[in-house]
Order: sequence, then C-alpha cells, then structure tokens
Amino acid sequence: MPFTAFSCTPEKVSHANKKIGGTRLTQSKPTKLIQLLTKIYKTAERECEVEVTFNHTAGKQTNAARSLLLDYLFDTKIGKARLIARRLQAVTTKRSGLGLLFLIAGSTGTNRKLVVSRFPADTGVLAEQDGDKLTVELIERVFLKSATSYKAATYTDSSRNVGFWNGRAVDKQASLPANVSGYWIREFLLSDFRTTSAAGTRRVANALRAAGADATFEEQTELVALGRLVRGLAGEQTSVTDLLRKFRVSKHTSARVLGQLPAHVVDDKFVFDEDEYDRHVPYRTDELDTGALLTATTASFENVFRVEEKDDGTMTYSTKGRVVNRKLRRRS
Amino acid sequence: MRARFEKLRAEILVPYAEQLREHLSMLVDDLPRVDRVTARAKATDRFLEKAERVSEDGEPKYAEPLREIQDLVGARIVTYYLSDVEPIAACINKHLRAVEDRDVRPESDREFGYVGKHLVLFFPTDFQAHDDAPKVFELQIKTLFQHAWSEAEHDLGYKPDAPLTAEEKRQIAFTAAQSWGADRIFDELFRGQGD
Repeated sequence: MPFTAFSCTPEKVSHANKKIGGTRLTQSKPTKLIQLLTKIYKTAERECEVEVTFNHTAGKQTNAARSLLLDYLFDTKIGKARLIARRLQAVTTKRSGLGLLFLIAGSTGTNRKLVVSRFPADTGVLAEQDGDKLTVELIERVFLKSATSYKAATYTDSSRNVGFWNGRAVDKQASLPANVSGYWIREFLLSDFRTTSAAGTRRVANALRAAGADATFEEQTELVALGRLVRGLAGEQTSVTDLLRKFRVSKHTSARVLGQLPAHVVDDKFVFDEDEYDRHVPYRTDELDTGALLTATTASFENVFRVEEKDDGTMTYSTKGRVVNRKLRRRS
Repeated sequence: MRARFEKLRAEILVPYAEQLREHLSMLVDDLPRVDRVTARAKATDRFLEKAERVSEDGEPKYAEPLREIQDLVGARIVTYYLSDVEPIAACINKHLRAVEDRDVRPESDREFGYVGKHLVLFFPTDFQAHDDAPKVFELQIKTLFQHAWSEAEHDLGYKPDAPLTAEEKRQIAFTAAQSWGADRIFDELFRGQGD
C-alpha cells in the first residue's frame, strides 16, 4: 500500500506555481506515522461522512479531478501524485493556508481504494521534561489531523472506465456556517453532494409533514416549531439526524420523524434549500375545537397571528387585514 | 452470465425500475405536458448482446458487464413539445446527480435518425442499497414524435435474422426527417400560442 506525502502551499490567487515537495513513505518499519495513515485508510468510509459524486464536464462523462486520482490509483508513480498535489495547491487560498496532502492507495479483491487526506498546518509548542527541567520550543509547520479543519476523500470501485464516480468526503470546516472551504469538494474534487439540496430538503419536509399524522398534541406542537426553525438552515450542510440534534427535538418526536424515513438516509448530508422547503411545507394550519382553521404560510404564521394562551388551555388568535378572497371549499 | 443476470434482474432490477418510475413521476408531477413516465429493467437477451460486444481492437468492450453497463435500468419521460424537454431535464438535474447529460443527434448534420436527450443519473439515495445493485440508470427525455419513431425503429432494426436493406434504411431515415419536422412545427405552433 503506497503512502505518498506532499506539502501544498496556497496558490489560488497568486498562481505562483511554486515547487511542490513530495516523498514516498517507506513502510519497512511500522512507524507511528505509518500506523496513523493506515488507520486513516481503514476508517476512511466512516470518517468521510458525506457521499459525493464527481460532476460531469459539459454533459460528457469525464472529470479532470477524477482522471488525476484514477491515473495515480492505477499507477502509483510519484509524478502522478504530484499532479494531484499541484491541483490542490492551485485551488487553495491563503485563508486555508499550508497543508500536507497524503495519498494512500490500496486494493481488496478486484476493488481498488484511494484515500486523499489533507492535514492543515499549525504552530505548536514542543515541551520536553528532564527531571525538574523543562525546555519549550516553538515549532512552526506542524501538521495536525485537526477536528475543525481536516479534509479527506475516499473512493472504492473496480471499473476504471465507468466506476469511481461516487465516493465519500469530509471537510470539517464545511460544517461552519460560513462554509469557508467549499474548495475541497467543489473546486479540488470537482464534485458535489450526492444528495442534492432539493432532494434532501424535500425529504425533511415530507418527513415532518408525515410525522404529524398520528402525533400527540405535544409532538405536533414540537413538529410545528421545528418546521419553522429548520428554515433557518438555509445554505447549511445538515442531515435529518443533525437537525433533530441541533434543535434539541425530544426523543419521541425525533422517533416519529426518523420513522418516516429509510434508516440508511437519516445521516445523509445535504445543503438545506429554504425555497424547496417552502414548496413542500408552504402552509401551517392550527385547528381549534371550535372548528376554526387558522392558516398562513409556514414562514409568516407567527407574524400573521398573535396568539394568546389562557390558563384554561384555550387560545385566542388575532389578526388584522383587508379581505381579498372568500371561498367555499371541499376540503379543510 | 445469463443466470447471474436473470437473478439480478428478478431480485433487484425489476423492483428498482418500478420504484424509479414512481420516483420520477413524483418529481415531474407539477410539470405540464408530461405524457408518460416509464421505466424498465433491461431484457436478458438485450443485456447479453451488449455484454458480448467487442471494441475495434477485438477485445471485449466490457470487462465487468454487470457493473459497467449503465442502462441495466432505463427510464423514459415523454413530453409533447421540444420546448418541454429542457425544463424536464432541469427538474431531474435538480433532484438527481448526473454523470452524463447529452443531446443525442446523428453524427452528420445532413443525416436524419435517432434524436433524444440522454442522461445517466445516480439512483436516488432513498433507494435501498444492495451490493450488487447498479449505481446509475439511463434516462431518456423525448417528445411524442421522438418516442414513436424510436420505438418503431428499434423494433424494426433489431431482428438479427433479417437486417435492414439499404433502401429500408433510407425509408427509416425519411420517417426520422418527418418526425423531426413535425416536432418543429408543433413546437412553433405551441410557442406561438404564448403558453
């Protein structure tokens, strides 16, 4: 299993085309680094939490990033690895800074597997104790498998011709609201989330609607509140389990929502689309025991109606405006 | 290979095709002028014929046909007018990831033959994953005229014991030209109505 490492400096703006230092790591001894990289290789599918697909190029079944990765995977020469590092360097901004790129290639049966892993650079302090003496030294260019800025991708398949179009990736920075590092998936890998924004958001909307069907009043109340809160996720990477956790939804209500979905999609990552959500959950309706049905758009319900709850549990809804339409309807 | 394919077809491809038909129908439900949505698992004989193809160098075209042939499940959306094709493609691309999206045309501008919008798309992630299941399917988006022509041409052109003569091929090309013309006239009339 070849391990190759490259140091990549940011060049997206400068286009300086600096030389890229690279090396193939020898595996004659199981050093701690080799052990770390072996662990990264073995746990890649679990750690790379987002399923991604390469984008086609002008409709054709080709992709420049995929081609470079497969060229290396099927012929692990350092020159081919350097091209991948060059590509990463060209899309990395100064904000992301210096990084250490590892390429780990392997195979199982007829399947080949590639893991691409980027450690960001940081500054650290080395402290060495000798008895009651302590020496400290500042070390620059320390590369850490950081919990907040680590990036990786992994691909496993057998067919070079038509396989390897999907893989898994992780970008620890992508969970930040600012999404500062879309470059890893979108620019370096020329890829996108396998679950589109529309598909993932529709899934959430349908699950929330369906979960209300047999829900208790308390669960319905929680679902309606959740239905409003999720609109605030516009543009954010999320999953069904992520948003249930983020909004601290109760166990019972979470189970109702998760029960509407196949188990294998509940952790599926996508970017939330507010407009798509509003298409599927456009209205909220509160029904009173008087027969009153109070309806407004999901987004504006709490602005349209002022709601007062009395001690006896009754609710007073009030609103003000000009009548623009009146209808007789067949269904509520 | 036949036995393996027939097992795959019965256990995975046929259920996938039905599930896909329902899913695609749901996606285009709000779009106007969709005539039909169909999906099918590839027929065994058609698969075996494709799996045994050889490249120009005489080598098998597919090293692993069950994994490499991308239309083991195929779907088609038929619509009325040429102008409707791209909005349908855009709707599909909004919900599913494509590895290919192309307009199939005759190689020469002077020829008339098969035309259509072809996409190779990943199955929705909602579909239950099977290790042996294909990852992608082929979707064709066609007008009524393109659909009618391609169905009849496919039926006439795939009889191995009676290949078409040159004259018959010209007749079929003539009908393709008529279909092409009819599509354009109907599309002009439709757009002229200002829908």
